[in-house]
Amino acid sequence: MLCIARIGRYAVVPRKVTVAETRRLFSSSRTKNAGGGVTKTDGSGGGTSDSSGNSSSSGAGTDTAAKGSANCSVRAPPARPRADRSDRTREIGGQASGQSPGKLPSLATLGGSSVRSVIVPRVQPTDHIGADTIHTEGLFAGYRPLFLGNSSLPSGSGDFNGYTEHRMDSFESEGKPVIPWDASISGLLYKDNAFGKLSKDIVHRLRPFKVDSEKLGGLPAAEKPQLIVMKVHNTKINDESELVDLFNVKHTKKYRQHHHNELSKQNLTVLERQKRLTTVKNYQIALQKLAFNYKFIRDDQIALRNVIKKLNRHFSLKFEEMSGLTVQNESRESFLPIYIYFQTSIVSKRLFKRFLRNKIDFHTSPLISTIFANLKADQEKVTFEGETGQLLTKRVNSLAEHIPSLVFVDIMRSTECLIHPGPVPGFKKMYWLNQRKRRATFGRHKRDKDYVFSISRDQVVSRNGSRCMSHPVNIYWKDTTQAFREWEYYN
Amino acid sequence: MFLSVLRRAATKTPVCAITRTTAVSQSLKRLTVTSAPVRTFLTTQVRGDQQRQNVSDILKSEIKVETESFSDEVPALFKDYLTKYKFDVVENKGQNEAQIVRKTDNGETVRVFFDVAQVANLPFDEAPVEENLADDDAGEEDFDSMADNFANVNVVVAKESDGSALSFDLLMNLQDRSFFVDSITPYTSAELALDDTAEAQVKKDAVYHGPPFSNLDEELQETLEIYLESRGINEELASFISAYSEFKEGAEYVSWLQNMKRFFD
Repeated sequence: MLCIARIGRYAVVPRKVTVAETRRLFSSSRTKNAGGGVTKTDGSGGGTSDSSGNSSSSGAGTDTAAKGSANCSVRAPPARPRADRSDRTREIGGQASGQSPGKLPSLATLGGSSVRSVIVPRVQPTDHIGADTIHTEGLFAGYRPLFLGNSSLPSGSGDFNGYTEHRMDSFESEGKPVIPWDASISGLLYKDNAFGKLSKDIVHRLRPFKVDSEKLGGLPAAEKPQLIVMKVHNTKINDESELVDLFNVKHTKKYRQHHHNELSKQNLTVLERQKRLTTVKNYQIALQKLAFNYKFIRDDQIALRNVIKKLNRHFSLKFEEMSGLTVQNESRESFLPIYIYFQTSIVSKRLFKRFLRNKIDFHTSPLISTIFANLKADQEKVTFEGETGQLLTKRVNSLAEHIPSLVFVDIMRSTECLIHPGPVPGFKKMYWLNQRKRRATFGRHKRDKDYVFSISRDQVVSRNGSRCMSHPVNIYWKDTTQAFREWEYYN
Repeated sequence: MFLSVLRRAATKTPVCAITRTTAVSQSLKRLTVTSAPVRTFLTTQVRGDQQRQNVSDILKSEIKVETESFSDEVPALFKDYLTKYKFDVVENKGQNEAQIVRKTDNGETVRVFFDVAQVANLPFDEAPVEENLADDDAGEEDFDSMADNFANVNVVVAKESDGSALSFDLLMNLQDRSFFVDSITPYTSAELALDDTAEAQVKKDAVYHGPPFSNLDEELQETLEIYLESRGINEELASFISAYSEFKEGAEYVSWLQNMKRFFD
């Protein structure tokens, strides 16, 4: 059986787990965690989906994960149509979160985590395949088929699930796979209706292939598949089954998604909405440009990502020891704050450490909380908590020493602050370099200036009690990109 | 008369006539010199009245010109903003500081303070900053910082339920109509946040104002900016402040002229 469960932001891939083992694991995690622990996957036909829409069943007695060559594997047939699968998901969610079966699960199934989570099969991107091509039931590249039946999209008016069932029935009744072409001396005749939707030049280049029935016949009876699904693909297609958390998707496009959520809550006009999205996009581009143009920023980001990867690997190994499940880590690129490269105050260092801690926590907490929830003894929990805390603090401290790798200094001292675009329309970011000017700008300097008089020994009062200064504030500023380009830097 | 008395006295004392005559003549010279301003004083008094009248006349004509060109009606430019975001202008005649207030449906009172004189004296350039930056990229002035003028804007959001308040210190750049949040200070009482006396200023200075806003967590910054935006602190406010400052500065100028004229009349 090939099944992949999902833990928070991680896909859990069992190496060789039988259905019974899986059931035991899931049932134990249900009882132990009451909705925590490993995310449940249906063990009786829930199934997962690959990129081409193929469904790999995890049904009892049909667990075949036999992989052929690198490009080919034989799988068990899909057991249930999609509607059934979604019902199953609802059912699981209802059990896990205590909701009614009709509702989607809204609570994370992770140990002790309150993160909302809905687990669904991941559909791989098909950007590299044209729309005309993907709407076919069979696709061959030269001699090798890319898809044979079970396309990811229903074609025409026909129902995909119905089609699959039909094909299954025909296989079962006839006892042999359908050969969709008829080769003769006069040429090839493609009998399958789906070929009618292919463009002529593609059909012209198609060549038949022969299924090696002898190899299939040699398989043990228990592993003998009911349906042959040729899983042949090029390098761009990843048809490994994987489940994703819908609620986690927002983190992949953090800013844009966040803004979409915000926009949906507000009554904004189309123009206002467009403006906001443009501002967010410009902000992201500005950050990406900085990371792209300056190697030191890129290197620092990579250093952070490596630490997160190492920590995740460490925790995933620990989790594997406990459960036998491996975890696929996904570490996404995160932008470092800019102020670390020109502000070296105690406050900025402290805030940067906090930023690192937050980032690392964000990426490791699902796995840590899952491990924590699966520990049985209280002493084990205390030990694990202490060790984890020490490990994270150590990593944060070492990262804070390593990053930033460069610090910029305005040796001319002509610039009072740096300005950077922001993600919200009408707002920009200002990084002060001259603190005295900052205090003067906001009227908090007057206690130590000649504008003041003393009313007692411990209080010095400004004569001007006004909230704002009466004169325009003239500030010498620079763009952050300009500063990086022009200023001296020190390691 | 005073001179004749002295002469008469001199003739009555022949013993020391020579010495006394010398001394008196010297003192007379001094008297002659010092008596001149008395006559001068009389003439300047007449000229002063004329100058006062001159100032008054000029002020009168100035007021006439200003009142003809200046309309008391609120310009539509910032009236739209007030209507859209349900802000009311707090009348503060004779003061530089302007204030607008709105009450939200969530039980919050949003007050925006800015200095009219500060904004009205901002050098306004129609060309946006980005263009200046683009020009600089090509030229040799790359190494010079950009100098811009900013104005302080203070936003105080008071919560009615518990009386607490948040004070946002902002800077506004009129050229690109953008705001820069510098710091946010929470106050347990809205009175302290709004108190403008010197004593309150000292207390407020002593309060921890938080880390620099730009160093805060990105998401926190963003959500706070969106919060401000939802309360009407946006590019439209920058336009409003500019238009209102021009309007109020004009009104204050007329009032100032009238007060001046009252003195010189």
